[in-house]
Amino acid sequence: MEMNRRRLLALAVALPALTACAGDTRQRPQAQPSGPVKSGVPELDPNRPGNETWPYAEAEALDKSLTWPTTQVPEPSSKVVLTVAITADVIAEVRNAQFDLFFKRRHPNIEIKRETSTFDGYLTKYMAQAAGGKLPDVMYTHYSWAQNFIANDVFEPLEPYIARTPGFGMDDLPENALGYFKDGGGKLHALPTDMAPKLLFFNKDIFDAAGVDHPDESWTVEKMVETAKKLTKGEGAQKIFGFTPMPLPAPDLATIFLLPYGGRFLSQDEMSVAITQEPARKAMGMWLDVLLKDKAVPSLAELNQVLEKVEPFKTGKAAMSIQGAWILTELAKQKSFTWGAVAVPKGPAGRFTPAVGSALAMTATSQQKDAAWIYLNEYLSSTGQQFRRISAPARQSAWLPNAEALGIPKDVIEVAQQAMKDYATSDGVMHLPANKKVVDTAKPIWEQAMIGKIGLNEALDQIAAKVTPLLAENKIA
Amino acid sequence: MTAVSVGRRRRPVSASRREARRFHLFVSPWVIGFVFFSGGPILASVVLSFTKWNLLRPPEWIGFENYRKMLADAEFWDAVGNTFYYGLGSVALGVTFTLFLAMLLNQPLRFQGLFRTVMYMPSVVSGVATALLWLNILHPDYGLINKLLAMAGITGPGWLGSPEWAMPALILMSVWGAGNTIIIYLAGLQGIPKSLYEAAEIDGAGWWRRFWSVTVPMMSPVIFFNVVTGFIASIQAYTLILIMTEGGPANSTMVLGLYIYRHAFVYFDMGYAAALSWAMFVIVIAVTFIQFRLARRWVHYEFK
Amino acid sequence: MLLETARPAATPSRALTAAQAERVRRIRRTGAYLLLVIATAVFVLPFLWMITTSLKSDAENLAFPPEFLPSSFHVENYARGWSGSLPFNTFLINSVLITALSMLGNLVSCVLPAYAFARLRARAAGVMFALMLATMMIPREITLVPKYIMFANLGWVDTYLPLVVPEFFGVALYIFLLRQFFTTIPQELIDAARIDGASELRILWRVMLPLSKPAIASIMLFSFVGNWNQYLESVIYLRTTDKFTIPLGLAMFSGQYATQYNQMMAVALITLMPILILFFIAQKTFIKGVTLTGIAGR
Repeated sequence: MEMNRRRLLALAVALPALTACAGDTRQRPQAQPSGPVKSGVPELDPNRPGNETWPYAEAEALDKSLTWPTTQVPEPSSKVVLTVAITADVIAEVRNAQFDLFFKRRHPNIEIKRETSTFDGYLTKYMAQAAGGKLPDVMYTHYSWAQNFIANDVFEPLEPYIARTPGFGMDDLPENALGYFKDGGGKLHALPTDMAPKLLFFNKDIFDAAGVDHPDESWTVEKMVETAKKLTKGEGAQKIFGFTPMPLPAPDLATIFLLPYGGRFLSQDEMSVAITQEPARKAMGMWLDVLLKDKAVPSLAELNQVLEKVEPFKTGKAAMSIQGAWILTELAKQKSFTWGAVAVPKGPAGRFTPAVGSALAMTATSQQKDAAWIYLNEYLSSTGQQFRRISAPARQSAWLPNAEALGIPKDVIEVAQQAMKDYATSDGVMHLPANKKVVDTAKPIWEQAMIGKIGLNEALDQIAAKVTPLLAENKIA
Repeated sequence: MTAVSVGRRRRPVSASRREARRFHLFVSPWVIGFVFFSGGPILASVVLSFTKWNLLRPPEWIGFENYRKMLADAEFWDAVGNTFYYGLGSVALGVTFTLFLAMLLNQPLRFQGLFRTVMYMPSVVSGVATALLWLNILHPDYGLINKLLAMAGITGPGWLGSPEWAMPALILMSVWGAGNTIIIYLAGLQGIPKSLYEAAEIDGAGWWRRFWSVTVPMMSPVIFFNVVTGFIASIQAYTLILIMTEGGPANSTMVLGLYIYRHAFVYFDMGYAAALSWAMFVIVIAVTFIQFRLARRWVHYEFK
Repeated sequence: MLLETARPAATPSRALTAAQAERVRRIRRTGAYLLLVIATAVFVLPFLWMITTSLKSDAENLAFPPEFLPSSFHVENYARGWSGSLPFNTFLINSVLITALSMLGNLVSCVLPAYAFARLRARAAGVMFALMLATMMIPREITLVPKYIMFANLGWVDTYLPLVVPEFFGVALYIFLLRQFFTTIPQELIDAARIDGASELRILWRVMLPLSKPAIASIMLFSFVGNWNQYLESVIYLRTTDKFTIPLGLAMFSGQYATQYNQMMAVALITLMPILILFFIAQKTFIKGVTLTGIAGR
C-alpha cells in the first residue's frame, strides 16, 4: 500500500466501501435492514446516529446482542472528558458515532469528544497538535507511523493495563504483526484494530475464457509469472494484463516479491540496503523483463500515474493481482466479473505475505489514562471489532462474523485466516522512521528502469547508493 | 525595489509630514497584523532552518547543517530546475493567453456574463473533479487529446506517465485554471478610458496597433501584477502536481514546493523544510526584484 | 519584458466606408462568438463532469473506461450526500460564518493600506511595501506549525478565531492588487479633490473607490473563494466534527480505500452555487466601471 498516493485527495476509487442506492436493496448486505431513508432528505439525529449503510436500529440491536469486555482498571468516579482522535470517511464516521453513543451509555462518567479526520489529513493535523502540546488522550496510528511516535515517547506502554484486564485475550491478536507497535525493549505501545494479509486475487472470467486452470496453493512465483504472460492480450484500452501491479519500491516490496527468493530490500534491522544482492537482483530483473519484454504488467504510462480509479484488477483488466484483504469488501459488492482468492505463490525460500494495518494508542501526556484504557479495551476487543464490522479485523475471532455480515465468501476468509496464522509476517515490511524517504528516493530511480532509461544493475546500484545514507535515521532504539 | 518613489515633489514640510502620518495610520492594519500574527512565525521559521526538528521533540540547534545538506542535495537542484520550467511555462502561457481571453470576454456580446462565468469555473470547481477530468483527458489510450491526435495521424505521448510530457501537461492544466488572472485583467480593462481607443481609431490604428499602443500600456500595471504574483504562485505551487503526478514519473515534475511539502508534512523534517523554504524565498525575491527593475521600462503608472 | 520585445510594425490603415466598417465589425463579432463557444466547451467540461458524476450510481463510479453520462439519473445522491451521514447544514452555517467575517475583515483592512501605498508619501513606504511583498513569498507550509503553536498558546484551537482574526489585518496579495489599481487612477482627479479641500478619507471614498469597483469586486471574490475553500488551516485548527466547514466535510467522502465520488460531487455542486452566483454578480461591475472611467478619463 502506498500511503503518499492518498495524501490530500485520495484518488483511489473502487466500489464505495459499503453502499447501495436508496431503494436498491439488492446490493445491501443481508444483515442490514432498510435504513430510515424515507422520501426526500434524510434526517440526522445526533441522539440516534445512523445512515443507509449503518441504520441506527441495526446498530442498537447489534450492540445489545454483543457482550462487552470488562477490565479491573477503575471507572472514573466523576465526569471526565476523553478526547479520541481517529480517521474515518463519511460512512465509518456514523459507525464511530454509534460506538461512542453506546459506550457512553455503558460508562456514564466518560464523555467522549471524538475528533475525526480523513486518513490523508490525519498525520499533518496531529503532528501539529503534538508540536503545540495538544495531543488527544486516545489516538489512531498507521503501522508505518507507529515507530516514529514510539521512539519519541508519544505513546504510553500498554502492558500494565493489559495485565489488569484478565479477559483481554492477546492470543486472539496476530503475534506476527505486533512488531510494528513494540519499542526496542519489546514493550507494546499500541494495539491493532485491523491487520490484513495480502492474497493472490484472480479474475475467473479471464482464466476461463483462456481455458487456463485457476491458481491454487501449489503455485510458485514462476508459475504465476508464466501464466501472467500467457493471459496478457490486446492493446490500448482493450488490453488485459496478466498481472498487476508491477513491483515498485514500496514498504512491503520485499515481503511479497523478494523474500520468496531469499532476497531483501533492506536488511532485517533496516540499517543497510540488500537489494543489490543476488537473490533480490534476480527477482527484480525477472519483473523488469515481464514489464519490458513481455508487457504483461502495466507500464508507467498505462497506469497513468495516480489514477487508481482504473486500477486494472478491480476494473476487470488484469487476470491476477496480489492485493491486501481490505479489498474484499469492494470485490464482494461488484458484479462485473467473478473472482477468487488464494494464498500468494511460494518461492524457493518459502511463502510470505505482509500483514499490515492500523492501531490505537493512548498518549503519554493523557490525564485520563484509566478512562482511555476502558475505551481502548472495548474498541480493540473482538466485540468492538465485530461492532465496527471491519473487513480484516486484527482480532482473529472477528473475521467470520464480520465476513458474514459484509457478504464476503467464507472460503476466501479461510484463506485469509490461514495466511494470518501460517505465513503472514512483518518481516521485510519497512516500518522504521526512514521508510517514506526510502520509498520516495528509490521509486524515481526504479521508474527510470521501468521506462528503459537505465538498466537493472544501474538502477539497483543507484538505489543502494542513495538509500544507504538515509538509513541512519532508523537508529532509534 | 518598489515603484513608489519617495518625496520627489517639493512640498511644504508640514504638509509632507502630515501625509506621512496619514500613511502610517492607513497602513497600520497591515503593520499590526504583521507584528502580531505573521512576523513571529516567520522569524521562527528562520530559526528553525538552523535546527533539526521532528515536531515530537524540541528543536535541536545544528547551525548551517541544513543549508550545507541542501547545497549538496542533487534532488534539490533538480527541483529548482523543474520549478523554473513550470514557472516560466505557466506564467508565460498564462499571462498572454488569459489577456486575450479577457479581451474577448470584455466585448459587449450577448451572454457575456454567462461566458465569463464559464471561463471562471475551472478555478473554483472541486479539485478532485479537475484531477479526474484531466487524468481522463490525458490518458494515453482512451484520453481525448490522444484520440484527437490519432485522428491527425499522430501517436500521442504518454503524458502524465512520461517524464518528457508530464510537465507540459501540468503547465497546460495550470493555464486552463487561471480564472483569477482573467478576472484581474477584466477588472483592469474597465479602467481604460474609451476616449483613448476612439482617438487611436481616428488616427487610423488597426486592432493590433490599438492593442499595443493603448491596451498594453494602459494595462501594464495590471499585467505587471499578474506576472509578479503569477511567478510567486507558480514557484510555490504544488497542490495540483501532488494530485496529478506526485512529482513523478522519475522525479520529472518534482518542483520545489512539492519538495518542501514532502519534507514538512510527509517526513516531518521541519528544519530542512525551513531551509528549503528560505532557499525558495531567495529565488522568488530575486525573480521579483528583476521584474520590478524591468518594470521601470515598461510599466506605466499614473502616479510617479 | 516579453511584451516589450515584440513591437509590431504599424499597419497603415485607410479610411473605410461605413458599409465596409459594418462588415468588418460583423465578421469580428462572429469570430469572437466562435472563439468564445470553443473556449466555453473546453472550460465548462469540469462542471459538466461534476454534474454527470453526481448523478451516477455507486457501481458506475468504477466503470472503465469511465462513461461520461450515467445510465440512469440518481438524483437521490444529493440528499444522501447532504445529510445522509454528515450534517452538511451545520457545515454550511460554519462556512458562511467564517467566510462572511473574513470577507468583511479583508475589505476593511486592505483598502486603507492599498491607498496609502498607492498615493501617500512617507519615508518608510518603500521598505514597508517591499516587506509586505516579501511576506507573500514565504511558503505557507513553513509558517503553519509555528502559527499553530502561537494560536495554541492563546487557547484558540478548535475555535474559528485563528481562521478569522488574522483576516482583519490585511492580506498582502489583495493590498498589492488594489494598490496597482489605485495607481492607474488619474492624478488630476485627486489633485482636484485636494484643492476642493477634501480629506484623504473623502478622496478615498468619493474618488478612488467608485473608480475601483472592479478591483474591489475582484478581491471580494478572491476572498470569498479562498475562505470558502480553505482547507489546510481548517484541518489543523478545527478538531471536533460540529465545527467542521464544507471542505472538511467534502474531504470525508474520500476514505482510505474508496471514494464516494457521486455524493462528493453532488455536495460540491450544491456548495459551488454560492460562488457562481457571487461571481455572476461581481462580474457585472466589470461593465459599470467602463462608463465611470470613461467620464473620468475625459
